[in-house]
Amino acid sequence: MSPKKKTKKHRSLFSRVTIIFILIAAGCFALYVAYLDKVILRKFDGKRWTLPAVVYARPLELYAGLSLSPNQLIKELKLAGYRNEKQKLTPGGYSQTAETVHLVTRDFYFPEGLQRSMNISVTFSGNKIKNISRTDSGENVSIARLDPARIGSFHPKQHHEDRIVLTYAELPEQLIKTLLAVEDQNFYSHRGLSPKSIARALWANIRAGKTVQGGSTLTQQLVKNFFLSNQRTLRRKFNEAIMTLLLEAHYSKQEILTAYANEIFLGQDGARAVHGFGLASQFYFKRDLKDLSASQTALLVGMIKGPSYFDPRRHPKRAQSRRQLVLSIMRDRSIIDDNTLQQALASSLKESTMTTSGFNRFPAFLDLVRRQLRNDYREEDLTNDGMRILTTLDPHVQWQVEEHLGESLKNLRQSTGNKDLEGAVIVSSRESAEILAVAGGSRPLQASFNRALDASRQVGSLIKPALYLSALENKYTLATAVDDRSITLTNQGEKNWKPQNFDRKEHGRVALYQALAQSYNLATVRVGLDVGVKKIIQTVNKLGIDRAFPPYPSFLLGASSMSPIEVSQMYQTMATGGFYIPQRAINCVFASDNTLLNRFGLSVEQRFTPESMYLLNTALQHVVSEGTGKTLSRFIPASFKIAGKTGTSNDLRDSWFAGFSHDKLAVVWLGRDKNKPSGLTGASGALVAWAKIMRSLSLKPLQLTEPPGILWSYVNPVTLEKSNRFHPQSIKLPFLQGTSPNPINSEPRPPYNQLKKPIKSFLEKLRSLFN
Amino acid sequence: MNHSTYNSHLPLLQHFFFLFAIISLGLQGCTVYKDTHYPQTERNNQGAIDHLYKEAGQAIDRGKFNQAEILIERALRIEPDNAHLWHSMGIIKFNQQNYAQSVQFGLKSNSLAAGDHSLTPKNWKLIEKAYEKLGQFDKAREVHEKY
Repeated sequence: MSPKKKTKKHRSLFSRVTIIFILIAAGCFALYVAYLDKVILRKFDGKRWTLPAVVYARPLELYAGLSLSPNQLIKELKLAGYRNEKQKLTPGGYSQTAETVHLVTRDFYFPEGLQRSMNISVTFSGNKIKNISRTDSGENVSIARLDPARIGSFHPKQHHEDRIVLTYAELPEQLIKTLLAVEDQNFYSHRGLSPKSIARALWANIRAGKTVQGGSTLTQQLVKNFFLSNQRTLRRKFNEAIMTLLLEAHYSKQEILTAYANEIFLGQDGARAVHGFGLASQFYFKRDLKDLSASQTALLVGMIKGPSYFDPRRHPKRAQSRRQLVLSIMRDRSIIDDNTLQQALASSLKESTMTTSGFNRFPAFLDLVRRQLRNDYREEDLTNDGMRILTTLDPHVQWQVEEHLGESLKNLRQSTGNKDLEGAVIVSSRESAEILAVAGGSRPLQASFNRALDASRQVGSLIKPALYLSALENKYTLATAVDDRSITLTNQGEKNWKPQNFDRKEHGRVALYQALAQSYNLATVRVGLDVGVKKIIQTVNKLGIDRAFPPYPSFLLGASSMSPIEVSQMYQTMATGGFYIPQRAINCVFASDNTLLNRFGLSVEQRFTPESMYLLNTALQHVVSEGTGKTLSRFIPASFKIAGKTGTSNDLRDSWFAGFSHDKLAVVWLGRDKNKPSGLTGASGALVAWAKIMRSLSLKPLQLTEPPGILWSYVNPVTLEKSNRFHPQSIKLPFLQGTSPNPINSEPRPPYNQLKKPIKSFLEKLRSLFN
Repeated sequence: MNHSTYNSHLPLLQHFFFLFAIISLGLQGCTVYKDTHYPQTERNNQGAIDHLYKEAGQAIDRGKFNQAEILIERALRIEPDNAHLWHSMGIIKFNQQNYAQSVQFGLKSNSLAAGDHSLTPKNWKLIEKAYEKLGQFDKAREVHEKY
């Protein structure tokens, strides 16, 4: 074979191998492209973003007669993201004149449906609302419900992305034009990659000697943010190019632009990452995207280059110069006119720096919400599906709780020398059992150990009302004589138990109500043993703590541990007059499309007779008027007739106070996490914090509703015999019919069917007039 | 609730009369259980309660019981010790065919209705009818004796 032929043969073999290699490479490439294509389609056609559940406070209802100061209203408005506007008000704006606050509410979906924006003027008289009217027509408004404040969101553990997803139609034209002018001028003409932009960026970077301009198109940026990591590798660049072309091939420019506007990272709010223009607009300016001014639009678009570097709150100078640059580009592209440019250039950055975020501001309450939701939803539902959760949180009550718990703890740490003294508070509405505020410790912003829910501590005398309620249901009256004398209990194989009073004294023969009011341990143990420990545990279960307790005699003095939230539920049943109403932190849950998923409405169950509850609650008023809670009158006038109970555990480890006014119930626990002595009794610690919190709220004096069949009698508190009003020490007590030693009113108030004949016939006549 | 004639500006005397007016209960089949008028009292928040009560009544007339429930719950947040509002909840629960809760709300209303000799028999009547629906006729008879 001639060398020529040999070479030819080699060449032909080489070309064949090359072709085969190219074909294999092309095949692999095609497979890889197909894979990337699948990745894109899966993500873009599926659920593009996981949306955290958003949690709202209760909506504030405004009506004439409501106790609310203008400052309180404005504080609530600010928390709900309202802006103080000087000119014409737009939704989410307010302004204040002498005694009137003008505001425009925002559209909001409530369980009854969409509530449209309202333009109203609220006039005050001192610290009360005098009148509400429509700002435009002057027409009177009976009740106005504000759109509630967003107080938090539930994110997956691994990342804290948050966004408000907008459609293309919701993106303002000015924003789109500015975005394209600054980030991608050829967006509508390129097919994903723009050689022109790359060349221009390259030239600019060579001239500057450093990277000053990026050549990435919007589509490339979206691919980078959406599908790829931040690594600057050749492989990532390769993937980026392919995926960009694929994305452009599959989707319209509008879809790509909308995805970009929702995806872009625009700052950090604590642990929460702010994504998309919709949320950024709320976060920086407290307004909807469509309401942004030219300068605000410029600021947001300018921040894309470096959200942390150009953060207007941390680096106002940088942010401002970047904004001015974007504004000049806007003028160059004729997006704004000269006049607007001058105004925008002159506007300050203040409006973005003044605002503070209310997000995840109340972690202890959010913790409770999350736990209550776990009964009905999976964790993924809460973090991925964009649900909206309306809660019962009253921000004003929550602020007062945080402030006064913090202040009380500060003082008590100094006076006791216990620097690690901690506390927990739960406030709820008395009749409807809605939880208005929760404090899990002295640092309200820290989502750490939530003592309100998780601290399980001895309740001490806080258990006694359950014991005395059992007694009142078992033939005891408030005046029944009980023995407060030493008692020793022997249990086979165990050490003798010899309880003592707090003052280590015996008080002899005392009335049942006195034993409760003064929290006498010896009398309590004797009554408890007479009634039976198991019966008292059943009462505790009926009051709302549905779990087993070992039936030891020490249970009678509160040796069992409970959490503040359990105690709160127990006292709630007393406060409602014997009706068990589950305490609720959630009002309702909506899906992301605003369909109502779940409503947690009122449900009631009578578990105790109104008569025995009336007697018990009257005795709890005596605790405050003359017993261990007497010091409360230093803070709240006696005329408020508060019903409550102090609790102190062994060696002063726990200090408790639980009590209620006509409208609110609150439970306070103070102690040390290490369960060491706190140096505080219920009266010297928790009661003080309770009183400071409650007096800062608009309370109503407690009026117990007297059920039919109650008789009042005078009793001599020393001899415990019947007495009369002229005896200086005599005390008036309520009794069940037939148990009174000396009834004042010879007959109890008759039920309807026992009304005297003339009255009854008069009522019948009246009724016949309308039948 | 007879809402067609509802008017918050009626003379005081007429309101007094309404306090005693009891509308016979049409409780068979799917007939809407109706309430009497909510009595007018001198309260700071009267306007707000009237408004919500009226809207709740209209919702009941339209058979929108869930909506009525939400409105009465709103009113209860403003005036939690108003026995008439608790009674309304009992009526709404009855119409939602939640008879067990209807009984409970009737009891709750009575626990707050001390001295209101107009409301108490209405609550007992409601409770009696709810017990009948639950098939607890002994309890219904027992309740019947109370009014």
